[in-house]
Amino acid sequence: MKELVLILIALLVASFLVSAPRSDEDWLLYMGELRMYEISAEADTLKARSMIFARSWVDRWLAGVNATACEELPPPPNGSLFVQLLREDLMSKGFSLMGDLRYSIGESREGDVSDQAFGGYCRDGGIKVVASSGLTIRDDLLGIKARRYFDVEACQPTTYFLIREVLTRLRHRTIGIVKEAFSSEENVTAALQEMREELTSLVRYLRKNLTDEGISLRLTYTTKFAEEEVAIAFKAVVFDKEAIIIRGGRLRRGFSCIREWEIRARGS
Amino acid sequence: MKWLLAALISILVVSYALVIPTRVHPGWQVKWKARACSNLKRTVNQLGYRILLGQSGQGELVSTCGGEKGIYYCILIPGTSPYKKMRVGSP
Repeated sequence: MKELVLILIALLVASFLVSAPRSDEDWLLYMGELRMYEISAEADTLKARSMIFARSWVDRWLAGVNATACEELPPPPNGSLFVQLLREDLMSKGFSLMGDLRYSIGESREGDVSDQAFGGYCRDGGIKVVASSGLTIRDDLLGIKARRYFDVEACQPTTYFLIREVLTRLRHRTIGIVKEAFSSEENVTAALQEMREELTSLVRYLRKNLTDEGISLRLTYTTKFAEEEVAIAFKAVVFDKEAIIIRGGRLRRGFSCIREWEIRARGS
Repeated sequence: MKWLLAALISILVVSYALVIPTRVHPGWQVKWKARACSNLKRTVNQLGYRILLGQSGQGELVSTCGGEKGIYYCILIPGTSPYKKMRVGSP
């Protein structure tokens, strides 16, 4: 019975504690602690969020250039937009955001390390994203500050730079091959035969290097004869089956570039 | 005596059940909020790009954060389209 009475007394005391009126000083302390946890949640996720933003940016751009000529260079993610979006969200919570976030884009190499939050892996000729930032979140009311500096690298596994380079090289080489064939052979049929042999060996050489990377290459051409000229229309399709792109909330595999060009040679 | 004890215990149990949700001690709020914030940090840092695939782990992806003043905390995830927020509560 005694124990029961003691338990009851303890419960009564606890209930008073729960409903006891709090002083302003106590409340400020608790409020400060609450805000401290909030500011820390905001600040400690800045790096991961900057990587999520970058992945979304790069993948959206890649999805847009899929099955095109792939002549453009990938634009770096807009760091100012990231800061502006975050600033607006933080302002609604009574925080202010200072500092900036800069992104740059380069070519990745196999063996580079990709940040986990970005989610990619590094391949030769892929897209490398570098983010460097110095951001400060401040609670203007309580004067709490959280500063975060980071430099982080990540890789988008689509071999965009490699594909772009292959297509550019292929175009230059075909110009050289056609010119050489038509300058060395007087006869058009013989020139076309020589051109065909050279192109076959060029494609075979390029394919040998690309197959290991999971990339396929197809080169086709058609010839048109017009008076004293031969117009050769080329079409090259490069397909990276190991490319992974996030689009519309789904992972999509495969990325291709299709480039077409025409070379004219004398046909007499 | 027995009846008195039974009545006292019943009152305490009922008052606890009523008092706690309506007038939570600030110390508990801090504890819950700390847990929510810590879960949120872990969730966002672990999931990373998977958030773009709609995964939310212990949290939920919402358009607006109505309940963030309670035991939830909510942060914007730039990159989601349209922009979404990750809301995580204290388990």
